[in-house]
Amino acid sequence: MRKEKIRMLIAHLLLAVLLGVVCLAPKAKALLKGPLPLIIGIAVIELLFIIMAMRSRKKTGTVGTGPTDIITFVWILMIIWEICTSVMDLAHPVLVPAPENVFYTFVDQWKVMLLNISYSLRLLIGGMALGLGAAVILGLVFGWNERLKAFSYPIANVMAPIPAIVISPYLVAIMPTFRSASLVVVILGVFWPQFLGIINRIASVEPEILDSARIMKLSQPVMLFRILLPYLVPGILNSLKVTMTTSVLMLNFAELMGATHGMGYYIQNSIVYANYTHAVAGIIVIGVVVTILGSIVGIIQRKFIKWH
Amino acid sequence: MIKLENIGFSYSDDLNTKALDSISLEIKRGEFVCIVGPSGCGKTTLLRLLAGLSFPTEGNLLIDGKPMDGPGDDIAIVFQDYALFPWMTAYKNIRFTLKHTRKGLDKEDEDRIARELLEKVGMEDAANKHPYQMSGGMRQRVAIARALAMDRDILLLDEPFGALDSKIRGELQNLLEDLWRSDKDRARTAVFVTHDIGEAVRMADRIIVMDHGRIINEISVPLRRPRVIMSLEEEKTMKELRLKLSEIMLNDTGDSGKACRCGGPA
Repeated sequence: MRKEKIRMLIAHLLLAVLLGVVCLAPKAKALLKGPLPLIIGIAVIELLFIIMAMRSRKKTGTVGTGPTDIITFVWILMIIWEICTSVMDLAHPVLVPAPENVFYTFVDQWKVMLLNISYSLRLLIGGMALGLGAAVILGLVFGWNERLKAFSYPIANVMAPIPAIVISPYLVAIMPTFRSASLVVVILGVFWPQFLGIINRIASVEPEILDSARIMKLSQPVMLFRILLPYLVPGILNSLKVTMTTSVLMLNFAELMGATHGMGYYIQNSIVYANYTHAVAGIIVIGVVVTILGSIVGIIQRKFIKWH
Repeated sequence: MIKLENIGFSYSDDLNTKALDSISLEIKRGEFVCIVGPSGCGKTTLLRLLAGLSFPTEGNLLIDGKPMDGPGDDIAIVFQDYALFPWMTAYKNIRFTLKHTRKGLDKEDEDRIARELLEKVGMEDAANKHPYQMSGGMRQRVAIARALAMDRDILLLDEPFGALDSKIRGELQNLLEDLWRSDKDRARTAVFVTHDIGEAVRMADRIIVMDHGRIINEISVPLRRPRVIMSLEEEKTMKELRLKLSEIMLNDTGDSGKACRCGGPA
């Protein structure tokens, strides 16, 4: 408990130092934006930390080292960033933008960013839904039928490790629109690993569960969708977090090659015009979006697979 | 009636080793048969053949005169590891079984029977619990209720109480005997695999002793039911039977027989 208090104290001392540097230290840069968006950003991060700490305390009786270590790291990083850029002007002003300017971008560019996020999310969610849906249905059927499994397993073993990124330039070339190419990149990126994973997981279903179902003489659809599918859902959701992260990666990569919308495009376009402030802001937004999506998957896991 | 004629069984990856060899056995309708023997003697393999989950590589297996060609309509099974569907509550496990094994029941019937069965096994208060929220004994009660939900004439039990402590095991033995005897209109056949000699004497009308894939002995248990409270005479008979079984296990199965538990709740 005493150690926990010390950790919290250090974290909040660092927060005070950061706010002091942001608000009080004399600034070296002439083109620096106002600090208000940055202060609001810091307040949001602190609020998230408090929520995490409270949830951790409610669950385990202690805040734990995880949240305090993370927030300490974030504050140290931001102090260094602020001092090196805004205060001492040590870094190149174009290549390493000041935090004030990056956070101001969220205010200045929120409509553009929202448009690009929604564009990327539509592709991501659509591609993941199609890829996952196809992988689940085909994985169940192919994994359950010995002959289909013998046919598809070696193919899946070859296809699954090939990153969809590798074939994305080719897809961009052959697909009628860039949007459809991006969609196929996400679908392929989700499909093969999930398909292979489902076939593998079917092979490791507890034999007694299968024997129980066989004794009941269940029909094939009931066996597939009422026994195997619920049994496999925890594994599918667990791997979904990883799949989602790689899908974002693939989508953003695909968007770098000729898209007209999307977060990948936004970052690429900013870099082309040497607007690294927008590029850094775009990178932060992608991180936040991935974190939010991961949290949503986590909530679904907690709600629907308590039994696991 | 279950009839096994010269049954042999080898696993596909080791055709030279016989897991079961020349098994001939008849089990009458309504009989409670226990199969005992040391670990690896073929008890569970035999039970899987009776369930239609595996097929003999030699001989004939007949249920009511018909050759077995897969899990039969007459058979329900209880496993040692419960094998409940972990994503379903106790109630839903039974309701699901009723829905998919008993045709012609409407939703009200399914609900009523599921609740009755849970009450029968003393689990009415745990109807909405998932298996992970239950103890081993509770799970096995639900597994028994689920087997009864299938309403089948032959009940196969594969060391159902093997993982439970002696107190719970005793309670469930009584429960199983009650449930087996309670339906007077139908003679339900039970085949119960155990390596606990005491349990076999407590539960069986007839005990089949196996070793190295063969039946090496058979003993009748001439004790009246229920066997919860017994006369001194009956207790004496029970002890003698245990002793006799222990001797068979030690003499006829050699060292492997020592793997059997000679105690257990009576």
